[in-house]
Amino acid sequence: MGKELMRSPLGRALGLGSAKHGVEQWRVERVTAIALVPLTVWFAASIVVASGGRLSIGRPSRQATMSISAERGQELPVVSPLLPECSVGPEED
Amino acid sequence: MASSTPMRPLSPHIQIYRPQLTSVLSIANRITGVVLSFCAVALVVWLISVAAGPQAYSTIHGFIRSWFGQILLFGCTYSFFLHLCGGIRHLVWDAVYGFELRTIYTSGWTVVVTSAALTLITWTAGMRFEG
Repeated sequence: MGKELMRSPLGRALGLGSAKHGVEQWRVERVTAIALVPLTVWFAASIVVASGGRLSIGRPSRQATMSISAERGQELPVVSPLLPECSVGPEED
Repeated sequence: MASSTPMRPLSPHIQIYRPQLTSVLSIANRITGVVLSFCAVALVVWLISVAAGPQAYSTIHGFIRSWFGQILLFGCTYSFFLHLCGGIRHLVWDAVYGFELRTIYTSGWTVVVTSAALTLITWTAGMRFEG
């Protein structure tokens, strides 16, 4: 309040200066950064696991994970890299 | 500005200094951030190819498996972990720790070595899963 009184009428009208949200912004940035550390490791791990999955190219599978392809009557790709729990394709180990 | 203006002396800028670990890691953190935003686009392209079906996927997969794709992927992995470790280093600094010159060099080399180790671990695990 004291600071507001110190400002000139022009300064008050222009409303220049900080937005007064700096601390909150700083805090949110750190919180998201800390949250990203385990998420980053998780992401890397899931990509590694995905690289081990088989996308059975050109082979029909019992587990239809892509219904659009099934409707078109195409061969079903098993999206095991992304959905490991759904990957009961013929190429699975 | 008139072209007749005589050349004035310039204050020393970054090209005058020998690269140091501190400055190199600083710019590397920034560059890897830019690289990773392109990697995010590449990740989406890969995901779209999975959704688009076997033909599209085999095209993308073939590129990734090529030597050029593998080098790119390795660079992406190292950028990924360098940015992660550099970010953790920044978090420590944000908590007002580790500003002594010796500590800065220790943490800097820790970042370099740790991200290299994480890259190698990831690739070893990836090859193990794939093979």
